Amino acid sequence: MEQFLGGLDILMQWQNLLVIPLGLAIGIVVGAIPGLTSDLGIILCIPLTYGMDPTMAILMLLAIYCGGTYGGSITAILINTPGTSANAATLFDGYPMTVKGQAFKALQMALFASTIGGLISAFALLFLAPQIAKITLLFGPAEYFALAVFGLSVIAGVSNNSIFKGLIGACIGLFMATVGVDNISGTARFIFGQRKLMAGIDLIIALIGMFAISEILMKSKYDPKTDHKTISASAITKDKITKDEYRRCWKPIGLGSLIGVIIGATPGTGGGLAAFIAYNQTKQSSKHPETFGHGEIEGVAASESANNGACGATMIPMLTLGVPGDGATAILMGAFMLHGMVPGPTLFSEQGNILYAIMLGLIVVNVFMYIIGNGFTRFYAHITRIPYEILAPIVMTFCIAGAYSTNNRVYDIFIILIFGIVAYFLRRMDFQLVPILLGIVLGPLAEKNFRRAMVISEGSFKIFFTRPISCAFILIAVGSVLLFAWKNYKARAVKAKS
Amino acid sequence: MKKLMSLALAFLMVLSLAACGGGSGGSDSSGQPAQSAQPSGGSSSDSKWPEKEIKIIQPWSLGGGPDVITRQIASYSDKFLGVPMIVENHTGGSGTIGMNDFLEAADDGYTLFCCNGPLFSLTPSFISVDYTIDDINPLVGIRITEFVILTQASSGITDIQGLIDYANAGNTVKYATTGGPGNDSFTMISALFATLGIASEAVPYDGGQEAINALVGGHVDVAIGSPPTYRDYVINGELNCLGTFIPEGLDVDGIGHIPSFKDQGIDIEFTGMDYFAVRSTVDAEKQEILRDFVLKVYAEPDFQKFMADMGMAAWEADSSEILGMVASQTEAMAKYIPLVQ
Repeated sequence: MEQFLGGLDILMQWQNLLVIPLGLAIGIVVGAIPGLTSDLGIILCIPLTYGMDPTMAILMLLAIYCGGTYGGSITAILINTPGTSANAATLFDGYPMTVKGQAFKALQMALFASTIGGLISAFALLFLAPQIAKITLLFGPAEYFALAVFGLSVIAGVSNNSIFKGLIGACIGLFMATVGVDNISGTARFIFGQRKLMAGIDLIIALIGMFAISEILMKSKYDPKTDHKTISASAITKDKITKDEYRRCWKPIGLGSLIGVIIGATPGTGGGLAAFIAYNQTKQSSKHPETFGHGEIEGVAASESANNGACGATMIPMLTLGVPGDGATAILMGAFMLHGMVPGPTLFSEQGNILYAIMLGLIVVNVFMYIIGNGFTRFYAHITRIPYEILAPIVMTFCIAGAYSTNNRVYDIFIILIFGIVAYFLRRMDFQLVPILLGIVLGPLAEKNFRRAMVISEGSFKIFFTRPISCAFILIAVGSVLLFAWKNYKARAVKAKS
Repeated sequence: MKKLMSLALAFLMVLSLAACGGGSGGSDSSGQPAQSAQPSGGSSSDSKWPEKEIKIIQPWSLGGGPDVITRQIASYSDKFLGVPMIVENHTGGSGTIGMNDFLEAADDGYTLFCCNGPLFSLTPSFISVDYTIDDINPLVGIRITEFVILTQASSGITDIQGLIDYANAGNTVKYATTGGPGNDSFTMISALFATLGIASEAVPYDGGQEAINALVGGHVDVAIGSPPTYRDYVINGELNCLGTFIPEGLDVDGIGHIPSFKDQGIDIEFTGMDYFAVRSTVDAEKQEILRDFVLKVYAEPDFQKFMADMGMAAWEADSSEILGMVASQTEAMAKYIPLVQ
C-alpha cells in the first residue's frame, strides 16, 4: 500500500501527465501509417527520453505502444491494411464497414473497445501481475505448441467459404516462417544463397507486402471517373454508434479483453494472436455468425479490445520475469534497462514506487487515449473522401519508406514487392490472406516448441496430453474446429432444404 | 470545390504523416534517430573530427545485454564528442549479417561494430564467412561474459558430482542454452557434458532469460546463464550454481564465490567478451578519439552505477589484450568444437 501511494505521488507530477498525450499522439500517427509500427515509434523516441526521469520516460514509451496498437486499426478500417500485425483481425469487419459508409462508426468502436481492453489490461497488471507471472512460468514447450495449435485452429473460422484454401494459405505461411537459420539445428533453410535471408522474413515486411501492396494492385481496375464516390464531409461523422450497438458489443469487448490479457501475458505471442482468437470466439458464440466478415461491429469490438487488452498484459512477464511478451515489450525492456531498472523477480521490491507509478500511469494512458483518439477519429474518418488515385501513391510511399526503415536496407523493398505480387494473385484466386499471416506468426512458435518438447519428452507425443494446460488447449482447438464443421454442415443442410 | 477540398485533405494528411515520416527518415536507421539534433558543443577534442553522426552496428537484438550497454554508451556521445551516436541493429546469421554490413561501410571511422570473440573463434566453424580477424581492429572492451551452469534448488543437485550421479542413475540431462549450434553458450555447455561423458540433450532457447525461465519453470534440468539473468533466482534460493567456465571462478554480489570447473578438476574454460571494433584501415588518430570517448564514459559515475545495477562492470581492455584473448579462445574452441559437432 505504501508503494502504491508512493507511485501515485510520482505519477501525479505535471511532467508525467504531459508526456502521456504526447506519446499517444506519436503512437496513433505512427500506428496509422502502414509500415511504421509502434515498435519503430518507441525506438525513435528512446533517445528523447535520455534526459527524463525513469517514470516519465517509460510512461511516454508506453503511451506510444498503446497509441500505436490502437492507431493500427485506423488503416485496417479505412484502407484494408493493418497498421501493425496486432490489427490484422480488425480487417475482417472494419473495412467492410467502411465500404458500407460506416467508417466513422467503425473507428469509434475501435477506439472504445481499445480503451476498455486497455483499461482491463492495466488493472490486471496492477493487481494480478505476480499471480499471472507464476502461471506464465508453467508454460513450457508443450504448452506453447498447444497454444500455437489453438491459434492455428482459428483458420477454420476465418477461411470463409473454402477451408481448403485456408489450409493451403496457412501452409504457405508456415513455409515462409521456415526461411532463415533454424535455431535448433543451426541449419540455414530456403535462403538460396542469399545471406540477407538468414534472419528470416520480418513479420512487418510480410505484412506490408501482403496487405498494403496487394491492396493497391487489387485496385488497379479502379477508374477515377466512375468508381470514386463523393461523400460529403457532414455525412462522414453522421453515422454514430447506437445505444443498441453499444449494448451488443459489451460481450465481445469483455471476451476480447479477457483473451487479450491471457494471451498477452504469455511471452512470445502478442496482441495479433489475441485479436484473432477473440474474433473467432466471438463469431462462434454469436447468434448471427453469418454477419461476421460483412461489416459486423461486434467483430471490430472483439479484435480491438483483445489487441489493446494484450498491451498491459505483455508487461507482466516482462516486469516480473524479464521475458518480453512481444516485439514492442522487448524494446521497452531495453528502455527499462537504459533507465536503470533491470526487469526480473526483484524489480518490485527494489523499485516498487516507480513501478506502481508506471502501472497506475497505464490506466491514465488509456483514459487519455480515448480523449485524444476521439479527436483523431474525426480527422482520420475523412481519409475515405480522398480519391484513391491520390491516396494510393501516398500509401505506397509510406510502405516503401516503412519497409526500408525496418532494417535499413533496400533488399526489404524488393521483398514487399514480391510478397505484394504473390498476394495479389492469391487474392485473385479467392485466397484469404489472414490464414497466411497466421502461419507466418504462429509457425516459429509452433515449430520451435514442438522440437523442444520432442527433445524433453525423448520423442514421445504423450507430453502434449499429459500436461494439463497443453491438453486443455489441444482439446479446445479440436472442439473449436469440430464446432465449426458442425455449424457448417447444418448451414449447408438448411440451404439444401430450402 | 469538392475536388479542391479532397486535395486539401490529401495535402493535410501528407503533412501530418510527414511529421512522423520525417522522424523515420532521420532514424532511417531503426536505431536511434538524430536523437539530439544539436550537438552540445562540449567536444573534448581540439580536432575537428568527428563532424557528423557516428553509427554503431549492433549484430544482436534490441533490448539484449550488449544492445542496452551500447545504447547507454551512445547516449554520452553528445556530451563528449559533440555529435550524436546512432545504434543500428543488423541482426541474424549469428552476427555475420551485421559483420558484413560493417565491413561494407566506409573506413572513415564513422562506423563502429559491437563485436565479440565467438564471431572469430566459433562462428566460422558453423557458417561460411568472408571475414578474418585482420579485417577489424578492436578499440576497447565492453564487458566480459561469465557463463554459469545452474540447476533447480528443488532437484537437490548442488554440484557437478551431483549432476554426474543424476545422469548415472539412467537420466538424460536436458539443458537449456541461450541459442543453437554456433552459439557460444550452446558450444560450451555441450562441450562440458561431452567432457564429463554424461547422456545429455540440448534444448536451445532464444536468449538468456528464456533459458533461465525454462529452468525456473521446471521444463529442463540444467540451464546456462550469465548475470543478471540468474542472480535474483539464486539469491531467492530457487536455483543452484554448479560452477563457471571462468578459470579463476566468479564472485557475484549477493551470491558469493562460484567455483570454476577447472577448480573442480574438469579441463574446460571459457571467457566470453564483447568489444567495440572499427575496420583495421581506419586512421589511428580517429581510433584513439573513439577509444578515449568510451573510456571517458566508463569513468562516469552514472554509467558505473548503471553497470553495477546490471550486475556487471565495464571492461577497459585495449586492442592487444582483446586480440590476445580472441587468439587463445580460437585455440581453445578448436578443442571444444569437435566435441559438439
